[in-house]
Amino acid sequence: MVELLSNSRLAESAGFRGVWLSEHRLWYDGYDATPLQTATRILARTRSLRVGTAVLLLPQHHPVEIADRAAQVGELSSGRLDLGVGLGYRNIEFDALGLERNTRGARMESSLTALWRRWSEISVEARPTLYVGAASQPALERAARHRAGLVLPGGWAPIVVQKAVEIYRTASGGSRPPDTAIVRHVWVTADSRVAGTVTNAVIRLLRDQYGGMAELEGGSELHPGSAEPLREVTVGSANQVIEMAESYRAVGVNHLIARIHNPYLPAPMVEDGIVSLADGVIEDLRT
Amino acid sequence: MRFGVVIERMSRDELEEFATVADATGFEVIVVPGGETGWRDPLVVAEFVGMLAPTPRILVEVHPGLDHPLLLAESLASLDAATKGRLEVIASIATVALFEERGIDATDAATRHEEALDVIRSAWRCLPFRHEGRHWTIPARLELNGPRLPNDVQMTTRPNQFSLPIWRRSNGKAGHVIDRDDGIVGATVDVQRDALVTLDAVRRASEIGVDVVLCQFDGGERDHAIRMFSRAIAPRFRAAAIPLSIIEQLDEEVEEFGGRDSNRSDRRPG
Repeated sequence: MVELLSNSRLAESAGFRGVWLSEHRLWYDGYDATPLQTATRILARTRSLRVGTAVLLLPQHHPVEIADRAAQVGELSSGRLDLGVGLGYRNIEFDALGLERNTRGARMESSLTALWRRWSEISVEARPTLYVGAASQPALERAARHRAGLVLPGGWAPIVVQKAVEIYRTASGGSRPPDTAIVRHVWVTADSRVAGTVTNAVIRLLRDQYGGMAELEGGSELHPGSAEPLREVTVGSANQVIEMAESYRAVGVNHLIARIHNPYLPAPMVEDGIVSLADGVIEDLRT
Repeated sequence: MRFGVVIERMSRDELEEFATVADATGFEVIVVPGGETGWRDPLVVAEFVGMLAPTPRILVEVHPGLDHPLLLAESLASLDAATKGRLEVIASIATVALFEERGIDATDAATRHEEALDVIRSAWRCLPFRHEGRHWTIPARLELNGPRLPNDVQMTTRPNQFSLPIWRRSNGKAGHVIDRDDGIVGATVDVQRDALVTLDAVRRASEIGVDVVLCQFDGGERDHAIRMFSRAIAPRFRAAAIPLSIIEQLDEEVEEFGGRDSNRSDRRPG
């Protein structure tokens, strides 16, 4: 927590728009079981930084609880919360909560409706900005129906993102997503040794997180990143990172969520990663 | 005797100031109530307050039994860790209205409440556990969730305290009384502008054995009232024995805030 708060303040001073948190539970991979509470801590210690969830596992909660919790966070932060929600996939999480995993889609649909219904009773300023994590056509269409922004998998090539945006437009009757974000592991460095260290840490993280869980559950739904981790990684010079970002901007992405923190990298190195990304890239990409 | 402040619904700026002042003026507890105070989510407010006021214990009202108890256990453990073990909870049974909002039958509210507390206590140890109760089975081991499900669960959100102090609301002599599970008794006092009226209320609480006085401040002159209370009233009741010279100083404080205290019975160990 100390490291998270410190990195958040560093990100704010370095010019990042926001930081993002992600939810999982009952496992030892460092994910956060209470991202909205963590978001509150960051928002209490910052003034302009936005905090988002990519993603909160909405089907595992009662939507009224999440609607009220997110609204309270919004009220205390002058609306600086970005609520990204996703389906979740880990059997042990659903089972611990007495839920059948195969009901997650239906639960997500009804929960999104419930969120908007609840938020109609609060001020627009306090409402979170809603995003849906989408990795399939049904999820893209669901996001469109609920007028939500998109959080897309980092392993999707720009041409796949372009198709996803088209699916959204068709389902929404012609409207583009209000925001389209993509999550990628990003690091700016010209030092090949640093690049190698960071890349290896990312591969290890993806294989431990997703491969380990898949092995535990005996399933075959490995996260794509665990099989081909380098698809969602850009480690290189500032120009290389800018080139990657521009390739996604050209197909409609207006928000790059950079995964920098890594439990296999020392804290000072992560701080350097935040600063180098800010120094080398943010101003060039901000329009 | 210890003293707390009850934080009712207010703006972020007011909350920031109130929590900071309460911490700076020595209040031992900050209370974040649920129910009809208007806070949409007391846990979020408790998180916010915990970041701004690093010393007082944080007493937050929750409703075990309303949502899945494992989720509540995680929330409480997370808050306890973030506040470095300063968390205590008032465990209240959720109202019928809250159950109806969630489409849950409120008939079993009391049994859901007690079973949820059992789950929270089991989860808090962060050891593998199973729970089979009337309302929840954890883990459920549902067939459709696959063949390789564990027989138990282990909460990985680690709290700071070994056990969570739990209070319950009750109807006591002074009204608005809450009892902690180890016998500590708390009561609310409405802090008036008139220091003497407030002093009498706290004295009455002390006489019936209240351990923690939770002060409710009106919105209008909150800052003045907090400072008055912390300077002129609370010190009388905190120390085991107060020198006469200190009592005389406190009498002067009371006069400054209004009124002369002719009742010398408070010149005894607090």
